[in-house]
Amino acid sequence: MELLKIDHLCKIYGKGENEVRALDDVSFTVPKGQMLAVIGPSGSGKSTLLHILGGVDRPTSGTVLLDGQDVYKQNNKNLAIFRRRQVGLIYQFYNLIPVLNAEENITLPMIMDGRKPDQKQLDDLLKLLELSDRRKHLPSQLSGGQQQRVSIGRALFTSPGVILADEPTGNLDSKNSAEIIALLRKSNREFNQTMIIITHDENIALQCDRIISFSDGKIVSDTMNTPAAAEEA
Amino acid sequence: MQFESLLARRYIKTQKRHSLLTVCSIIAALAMMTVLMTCFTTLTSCMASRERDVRPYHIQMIDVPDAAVDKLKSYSHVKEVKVIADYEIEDENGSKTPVHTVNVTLEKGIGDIASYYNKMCEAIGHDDFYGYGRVNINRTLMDYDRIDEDADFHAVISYAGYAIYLIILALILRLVIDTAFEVSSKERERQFGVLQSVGATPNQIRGIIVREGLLLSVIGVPVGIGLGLLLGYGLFRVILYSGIIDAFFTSEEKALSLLHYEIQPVPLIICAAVGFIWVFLSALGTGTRVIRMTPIQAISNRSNTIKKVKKHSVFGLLFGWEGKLASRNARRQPKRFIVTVLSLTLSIAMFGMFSVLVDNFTKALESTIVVFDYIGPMNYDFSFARMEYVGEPFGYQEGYRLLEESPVLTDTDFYFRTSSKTVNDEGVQILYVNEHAWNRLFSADDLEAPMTYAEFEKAGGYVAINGSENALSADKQSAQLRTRCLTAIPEEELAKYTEDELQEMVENDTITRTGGYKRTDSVGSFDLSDDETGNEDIFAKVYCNYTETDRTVKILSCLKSDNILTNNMALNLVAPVSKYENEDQAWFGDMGKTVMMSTRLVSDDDYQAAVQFFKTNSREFTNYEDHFSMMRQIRSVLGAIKIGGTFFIIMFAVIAIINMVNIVSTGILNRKSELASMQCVGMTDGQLYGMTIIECAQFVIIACVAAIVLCALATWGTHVFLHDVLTLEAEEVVRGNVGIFSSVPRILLATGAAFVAALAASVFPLRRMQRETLVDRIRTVE
Repeated sequence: MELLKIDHLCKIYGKGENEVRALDDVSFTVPKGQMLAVIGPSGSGKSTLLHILGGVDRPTSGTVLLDGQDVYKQNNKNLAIFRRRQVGLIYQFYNLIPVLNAEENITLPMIMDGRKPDQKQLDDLLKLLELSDRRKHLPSQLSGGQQQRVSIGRALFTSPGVILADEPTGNLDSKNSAEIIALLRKSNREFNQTMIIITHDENIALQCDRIISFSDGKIVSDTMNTPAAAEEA
Repeated sequence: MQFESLLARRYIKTQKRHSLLTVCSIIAALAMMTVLMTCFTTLTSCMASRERDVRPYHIQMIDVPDAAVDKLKSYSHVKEVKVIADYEIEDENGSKTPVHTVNVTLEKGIGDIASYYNKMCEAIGHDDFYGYGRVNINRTLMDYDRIDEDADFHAVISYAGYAIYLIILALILRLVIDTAFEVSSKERERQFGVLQSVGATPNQIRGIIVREGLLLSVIGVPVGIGLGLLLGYGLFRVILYSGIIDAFFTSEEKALSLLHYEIQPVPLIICAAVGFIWVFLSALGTGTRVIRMTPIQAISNRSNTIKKVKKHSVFGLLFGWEGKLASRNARRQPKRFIVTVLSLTLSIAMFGMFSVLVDNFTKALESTIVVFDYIGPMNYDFSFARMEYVGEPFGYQEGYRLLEESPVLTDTDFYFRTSSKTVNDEGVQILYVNEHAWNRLFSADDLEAPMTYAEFEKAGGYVAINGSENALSADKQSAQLRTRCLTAIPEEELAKYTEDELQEMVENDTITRTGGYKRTDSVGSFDLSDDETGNEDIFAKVYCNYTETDRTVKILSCLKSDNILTNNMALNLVAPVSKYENEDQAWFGDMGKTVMMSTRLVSDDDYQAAVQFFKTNSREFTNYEDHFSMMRQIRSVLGAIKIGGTFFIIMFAVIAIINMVNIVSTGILNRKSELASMQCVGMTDGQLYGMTIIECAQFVIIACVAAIVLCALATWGTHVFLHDVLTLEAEEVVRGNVGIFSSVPRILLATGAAFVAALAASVFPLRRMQRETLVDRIRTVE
């Protein structure tokens, strides 16, 4: 069952001679529960794709359907609510709010939604993220890996339809990178969470169910993968 | 071009908003300092001009003979001797000597005025001058012209006080410039880190910031001084025409010829120097702070890491998570937060407090002046006395008639008092009042008229107010008076006795002596600035025969009043003036009486006409008190203080607002990426604006509450002060009009204005920021 449908997506920056086609007629679908890796060289359009899927940027043309709903037919307010409820964004530089502690950062989207966070769910998530003893710490008091785990917690906490991760390990050492990927994989398997991960790291890509390769704003390959084999390897 | 200069110029050009805010801060600081400097020099110069116009001398001497005048002219340090009056004095032998009244102007450096003057008197042959009322030393003008050593001391005291004030102000202004630099450099810490990482030395980094500061001050300092001069001139004109001219000068031309806006180069040079030094120090301080960080700290922006936040806040409780976030955001840089809130608090409190305090003191002053009257609250424009002259029948009627018939005066009341005794030797004062005075007597809250004036006249008795009850009968229905009737002894009769013999007769109670005023040309020929009463030359001793008679008088009513100034225990009896004319006049004979008259202007516009009336009829009145003019001068000075004060408050508020705008707008722009992150995880535009509005509200709400507390304390302090130094009536007038929280509406108004400024400072950058895509903003490295 397809959760996400991207149809003839185009994103053009600039005009005339300065025109840059960041995404050029991109179409694909993502079924629920799939862990998808998007790879490609710098400037190939990966991050632009992720931002458009996350409702952060608007496409020049084309549609993005999440659960059959056209994301960009919504006004700005509904788009913000869409980001709050239906997607979870993970960035390379974490983008945590420095004045909020780990727990507050994780629950922020839900608090903004006017809902009261479920304490048990929060405790479980913190345990999963191995942040139980760091829940009251400010971002400045956490290591890079811990900050990224907070960022993942924030993305997971509202149980969104899709998690979008932009180079989630780009700012981490290999040990922390492995832990973060394992965490993402675990939540993908345990919660059947759909994930799209943008990465340069081939090892990370190989741990995903599917790999889409981008070049010059176009899909150049779309292959299914058996992550178990990679893990074993 | 050195690379520091190149980069400094580039930063100024590319970071226009910061450059503009920094220049604005420098301009505001310099303008305020210049205004204060020029105000001080202008005020001093105006006061000296006014003094020079009213009393154009350092020493005024009377009865100076011709030879002494010539010696004076050549005496050391005498600049000018101006003869202003020529007349003759008669010695004991009857021979007349021509003498003069002279105004002496001195040069600087006379040393101690007392010894200088004594020596001068010796030199001119007038060694008995000093201390005999024949010299008038104009201490004020001597201070302004710095003539003697005391003047130098006074100047030092005066300048020291002013300098302390200026230093405090300069430090506050330093803070403004400092904040502007810190805000500007904070945003560029990363760039400085990058420069350091590619080889720039700490001194070069500091050099960039210092050069940038000096380049900005090259624009800011002269513009600030120019603006200050313009504003100062505007302030001078506004104060000049706020009533000062009318109150203190006879004509606008006269005022304008004496009062000038004083621009002196030295204060301006001081302003410029202080401006450049402050900018240099601020830039240097900022540069030093920047280079204390390692390049990687600067690049990774680690100096901005938040290590501690408040878990709970009032704003969080009031406004939910937006309030909580706003509260934490505002306190990211506690020092700047405190400085901003403090400066905002002070400007709001000063705005709220100043006008309230001026109102407070105006009312207190008015009420203090009002109580200086014998029979009750003095709410008249003019009061004066018609004196009894020796050799003329006592007649108040003529003066009263003149006042009654004057088209510009109204509500004339009068009373006169006589002194008497009871048979028990208790003191008694009898006040004979007309209807206006009777009504005034009972205009105070604590005293109710026992009857109307018509009934009073008809009843034919006295009303007792305060004083010893021993003077009254047991049933308080009557009093036993022992009145003394005086008859002046004719001059030819007096000539038969020597002065010693007369004195002996007085001591033996054979005759008595009283006082009276001699008709001379000088009597009553006062102008509005003079008060010639009490002059020995016009006061005469009158020897009288007397008879004493015991009388029983009818007491209609006994009253007590706190509002009547009865300092002695003498019994105060009040009777209608008709009773004096019809009956009591015969009891007292030639005994000295003074008629006190008070009158009001029909209209404030008639003041000059009233002045002319008193000048024309000056022989009929003396002891003139011009309450109207006095109050007008007080109001006009207070008005000028109000205008000047308001101006400074506005200047102060501008500085506080520049600070706040700087901090709020920079705070928004610095958090561009962070705010975008929040939007990425679902914050709506409404929530973003809501949080920002709460952030702004925090500054003004805290400042507002603090200002209300400050104002309440200040008003309470005023009450305590008034209680200590003023009369009960004055204090009650103030308490009745100025409550502890009287300034709250003004504070709320100022808070509203500050909130609008803060809102504009945050909403505009927010809107501009919103034009960028979320993607672009989230990529911004903080």
